[in-house]
Amino acid sequence: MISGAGLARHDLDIRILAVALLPMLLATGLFALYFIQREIGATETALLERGRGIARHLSDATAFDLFSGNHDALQRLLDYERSARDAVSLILLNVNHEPILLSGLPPRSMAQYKDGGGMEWQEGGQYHFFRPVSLGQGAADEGDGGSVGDPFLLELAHQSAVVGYIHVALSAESVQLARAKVLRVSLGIAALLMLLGGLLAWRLSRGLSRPLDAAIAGVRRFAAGHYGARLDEDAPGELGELQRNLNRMAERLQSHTGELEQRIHSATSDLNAQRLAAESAVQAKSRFLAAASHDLRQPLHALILLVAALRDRLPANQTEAQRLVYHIEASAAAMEKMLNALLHLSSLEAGTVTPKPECMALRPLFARLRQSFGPMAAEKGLRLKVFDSAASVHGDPVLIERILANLLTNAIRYTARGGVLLGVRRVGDGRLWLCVYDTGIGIEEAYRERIFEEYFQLDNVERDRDKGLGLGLAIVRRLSALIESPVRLRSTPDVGSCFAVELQRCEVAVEVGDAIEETEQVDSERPILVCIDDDEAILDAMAAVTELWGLELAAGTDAEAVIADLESLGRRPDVILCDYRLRNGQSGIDAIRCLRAHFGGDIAAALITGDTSAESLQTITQAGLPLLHKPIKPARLRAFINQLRAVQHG
Amino acid sequence: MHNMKILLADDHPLFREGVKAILLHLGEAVSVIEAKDYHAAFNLAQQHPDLDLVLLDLYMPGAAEAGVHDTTRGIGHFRQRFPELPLVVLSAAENPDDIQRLLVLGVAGYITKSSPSEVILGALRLVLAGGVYVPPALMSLTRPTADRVIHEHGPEGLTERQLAVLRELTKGSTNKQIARDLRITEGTVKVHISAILKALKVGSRTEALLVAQKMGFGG
Repeated sequence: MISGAGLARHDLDIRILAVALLPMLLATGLFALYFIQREIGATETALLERGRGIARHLSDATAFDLFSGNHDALQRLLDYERSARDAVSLILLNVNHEPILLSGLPPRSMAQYKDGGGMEWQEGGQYHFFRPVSLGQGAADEGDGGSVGDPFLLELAHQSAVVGYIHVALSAESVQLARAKVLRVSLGIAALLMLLGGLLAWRLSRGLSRPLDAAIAGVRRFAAGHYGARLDEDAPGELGELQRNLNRMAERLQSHTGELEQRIHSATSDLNAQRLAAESAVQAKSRFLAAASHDLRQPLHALILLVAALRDRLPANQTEAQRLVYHIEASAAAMEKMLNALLHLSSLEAGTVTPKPECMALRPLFARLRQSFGPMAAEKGLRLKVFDSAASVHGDPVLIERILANLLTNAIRYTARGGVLLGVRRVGDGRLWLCVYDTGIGIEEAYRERIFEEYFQLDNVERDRDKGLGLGLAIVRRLSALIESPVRLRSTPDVGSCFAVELQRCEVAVEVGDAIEETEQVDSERPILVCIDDDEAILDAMAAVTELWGLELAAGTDAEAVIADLESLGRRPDVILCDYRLRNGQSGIDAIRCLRAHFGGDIAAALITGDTSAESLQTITQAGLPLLHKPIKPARLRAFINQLRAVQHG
Repeated sequence: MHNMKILLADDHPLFREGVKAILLHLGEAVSVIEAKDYHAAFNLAQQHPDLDLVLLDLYMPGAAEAGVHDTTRGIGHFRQRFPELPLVVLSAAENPDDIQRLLVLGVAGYITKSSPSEVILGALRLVLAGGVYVPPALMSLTRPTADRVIHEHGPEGLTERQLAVLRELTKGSTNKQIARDLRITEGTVKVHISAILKALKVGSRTEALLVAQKMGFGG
């Protein structure tokens, strides 16, 4: 992202630089070329002028001396002329083109003299000027001024009286120097211009690309949803316009988004309020239903009990009255069933039921269900088959039992022939289905959702109350939602249905553990009730009731014998009951003291007595021991023992 | 049973009427003392120390006047104050947690108000005989102190433990051996044997052994 932006920025800079520099480069180059050409042309022209001047001057000045053969004068003249700038060599030739005199170095090139005419050429880095020297030439020259180089005149002069020839060679060095110098200067100027131009372009591109970069970054922030971000509006011209418009766009977006959020927020809170209102309305309704059905149940219970009393009181011959009472009883029972279902459903809806899941064994649950629903099925002539299972499941035992009870009730209600089956199916992943199958009327595809609604019943448009209230499956649905175990339904009309509750298996063998615990308790862990009495009837009764109450009896006629017996078993008494008057004039108070001294002072104890003399009662009260009067009623004894043990354990 | 005296406390007069009709079936001369709240129930229980049975509604007004604010706490209070009174709780609700707490308090029974009159009657008879009653449907859900099984009586009306003692007798064991094997005291063995003799209507151990052999025990 960043490198991409960098690249883009470089790209932009390079483009701006290229746009700025390329024309300048071209212009500078062309100007340099032009100036070089011009400068060199000027230098060359000057050189040529000078060479021609020397040649003309010499051809004029040497004619007579050559003609007269005054070589010395000629030599001096040549040497003098050679001191002129750029003159490399001056040669005087005779009419036969043979060199006579030379000043300076020999020239690098000699003309191939064909005739007596003048000529100029360039060779070997030198400019060469060749002129005939003739007599009488001066008049012609004077008459014509500067047009010495005119080939026609030269020809004329030559034709008149040529006495020799002059060859002047000038060095081209100055021209080359000038060229190099101009080139250097041009290049320097070009470089300077490029530098200046580059700097200018760079400044320009910076000025352009920086706000652009800022704009890009800003747009990127907007795109990311930060509508609160703003660009600096510092750039002039179109860029400034761009910045301003981008900011305005962001403002619009920001206000739009804010508005939208506000709207969503208010819509959400509206919805929430409505949902809460609806929920509280449902809760209020459920609370009302729960309260109403609870209150209605009280007089109903009374009604049921009173009708039962009335039935018992009716003479056997009043058959019509008995029939009426029977119907009242049936109506009251049906009403109670409905109220129970209503109360149950409303308490589920009011959210007052909290599941208490644990690992529970299925076997005892199935046994109970078989016991409670067997008769109901048999009454309708149906078979109820319950397949035992050794599995345990994780769930709330009360709620699971209620679900299954409701499903079984439903299955029996809607099955006319055949049977109902309760069993377990393993579905893998440690999960089980508790399935209730029936051979009933089945449920059409269209009704498979609706049967779980309240008060919906199949084939009961006349709302026959014998078919129940239509709350069973609604309760099942709520219960299954509560324990988060979905209820599945498969059904074929006129063949039967299968409702299944999915539960998680668990491996804690509660059932087996329970059984062991229980047998152990029977064998050794039953609490011990010590009973010291010499009344056989009391001991008999004690033996019977303690066995019934899950206690172990340690009977005896005196404290010593009981202590010896218990010691041999290695047990400690839990409750002591002792007759006040023992054999040999011993007191029950002493016996209890004796036992407590031996086994511990905190053992619950009470006295039994048939003695109602004030003196005895006073002694007993002083000992601080509770007292039971003979004859002891089992219920009172039980209540008393329970309390003694409860106090001890509490 | 003569002159049975029962305290019935419930805030619904109609319901009291209904229950009263049942209570009258418990004996020849049943007198029912009625209370309409906890406070009255406490006072009446104090005035009548010879009550045979107390029936208390679990959710009843007047607990605050009696100095208690929690219903099961109220029951506990009652139990502490009158430990020898067999107390049966009547409730419109079937809450296993309530039952558990009440059983720990030493309550003799928990009867749901929706029970049919025959069930209520049976439950009260069980309690009067020294039993503890919990509705069978809720029994499995409690960890009771309640009597799980009402022992079936064996042949000739012998209890399970008595049958065990008889079985040991047929092996020729002495009282001491029986006590050791069954892990009960020797005195209790004696009590059981005398009860067995009485039940089999015989006068001695030898006769009892003969009867036992006829019944198909040991040999």
